[in-house]
Amino acid sequence: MELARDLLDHQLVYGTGDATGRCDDVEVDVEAGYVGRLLTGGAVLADQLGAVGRVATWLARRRGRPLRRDEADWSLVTTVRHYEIKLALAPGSKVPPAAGSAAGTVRWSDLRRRGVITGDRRRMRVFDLRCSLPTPPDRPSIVGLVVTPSARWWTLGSKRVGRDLRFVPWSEVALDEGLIQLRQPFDALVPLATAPDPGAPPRKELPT
Amino acid sequence: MSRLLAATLGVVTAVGGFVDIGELVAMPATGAAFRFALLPVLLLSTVGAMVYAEMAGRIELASQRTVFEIIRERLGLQMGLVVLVIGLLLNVITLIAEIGGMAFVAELVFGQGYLWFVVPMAVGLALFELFGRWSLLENVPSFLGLALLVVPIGLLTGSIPVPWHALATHAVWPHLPTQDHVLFVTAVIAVLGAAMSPYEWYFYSSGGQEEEWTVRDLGVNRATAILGFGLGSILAVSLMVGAGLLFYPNGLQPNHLGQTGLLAAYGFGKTAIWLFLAGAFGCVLGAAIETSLAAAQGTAQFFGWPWGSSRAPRDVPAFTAIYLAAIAVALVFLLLGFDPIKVTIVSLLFGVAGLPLTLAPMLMVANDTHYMDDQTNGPLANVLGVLFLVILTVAASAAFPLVVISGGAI
Repeated sequence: MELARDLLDHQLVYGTGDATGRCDDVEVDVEAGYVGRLLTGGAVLADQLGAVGRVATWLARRRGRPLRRDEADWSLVTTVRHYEIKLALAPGSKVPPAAGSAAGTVRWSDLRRRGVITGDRRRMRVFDLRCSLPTPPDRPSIVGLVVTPSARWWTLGSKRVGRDLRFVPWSEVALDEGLIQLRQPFDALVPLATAPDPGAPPRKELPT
Repeated sequence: MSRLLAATLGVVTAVGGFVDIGELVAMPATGAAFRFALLPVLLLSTVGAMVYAEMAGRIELASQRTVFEIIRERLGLQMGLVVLVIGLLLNVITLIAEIGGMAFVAELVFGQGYLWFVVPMAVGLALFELFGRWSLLENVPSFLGLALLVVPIGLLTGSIPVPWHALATHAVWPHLPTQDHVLFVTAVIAVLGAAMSPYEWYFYSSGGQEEEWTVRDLGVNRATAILGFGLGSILAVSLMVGAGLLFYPNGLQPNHLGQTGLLAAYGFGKTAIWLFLAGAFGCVLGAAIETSLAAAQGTAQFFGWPWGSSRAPRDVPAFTAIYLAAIAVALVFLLLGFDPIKVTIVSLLFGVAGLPLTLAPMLMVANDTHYMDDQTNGPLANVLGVLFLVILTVAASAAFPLVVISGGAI
């Protein structure tokens, strides 16, 4: 499973299958190497939209209806499918408050903005995070980082566009303040196509 | 048998749904100004509309997601939001023109100024969407729109012979005018925009989910896109050719829907005008429903909220609020005195400007095996898809300056 491809922006549904929002951000415990909580709601989106988000937050507060922020602990996840993430919640019920974030927790939206430097000082960019996909409620563990030399402007900010994708095992990644250091030089990085792949979430069985 | 019925119904609704206020305004205007010179553009745009409608339907079938759900997943929040906002703006601008079109038809029927009918039409539209189920919303306007067939039939049976040879020559070999080049380019883009409206594909893709299409419906999807849009374009062609035959030689420019109705009267006399008005009302009502619902569907899908026209409004509150808000905004613009005909032309030009941003993600996803499995684009869909993307990107770069230069006139 790849975090940005298979979790982020995907439909969250109640236990009955009714829509309840999208997975707007994901917390990643970079020290323990696990995927943490799934974040959803207007406040989570506003955090990622810069000035537009700040204006939306201010307007909502002025109207006396602050933007929603729900943090679904992974223990609430019952199934991860190609097209949706099902939560153990009844329709209309609120996401129960989760325990505070662990010390080494970083949001995916922050992690993807960090610069990446290879062992031979080459600049790269975070593309995705490859994770295992155990049966819930076991948490997905981080397998490695997917990086690309494509500049962000080249992709017009879109999420899944990049060339020359490379895989870096998580053990070879060191997180400094605001920067991701790779121990390996660029040429030693494995092309994504030949990297270990735990597989994508199952597709929907199309009704016939 | 039920598949055959579904395919037939799909084709019929696509025929009626292909024409909206854009065709009703742009086709007679361009036919009157340039005779048959824009026929190849219309035929080419129809092929483009078919290619992307088929793609939108296939994406929904293969991935079980609508176009906007995939835009969010594939492009991410920021870029996806840009596409959503552009789509919303286009939908609302088009909705202004469609409600204006409904009021124009009422003006012709009752003989009062169209502004008298703007509020009743908007309120009626809102009530129809609030209380009508999906099948009703889709089928009633489309079947009513089929009354527009009076125009092509009238042309075929009228007293002025249709110059088939000239039509065939113009269809395959473009005849460029020697003057009025800016007007001609504006007309080219308006015809492109009329035939290739993004809301049609968004709505079509959401319709697949409303009707719970399955992989077995791939044939229905293809038939609806190719036959429905193809036959629908006959209505558009007849409006252009009719104006080329009747208005162009006399130097007339149709400035009102009533003058366009003369194309029907020419074949069958005065009674045909009533059929024309019924057909025109069905077409603009259908397009008003499609644009307002497409705005709500796209937003709800983007943010993962529940949506659906067959669900009770209390179960889909955000979806309901968005289409009601879209209707209210369109109503305010009409009451402020914005000319629906000029708004139509501006919406066609802006529509083309926004098209590449809509089509590029669709083309990208339709080639992604992660979403499409074994239903990815074939070589023909890719060649045509890229060709239209290039054409529309070039046209999009000219659209904004033309809105300023032409001021919303063809």
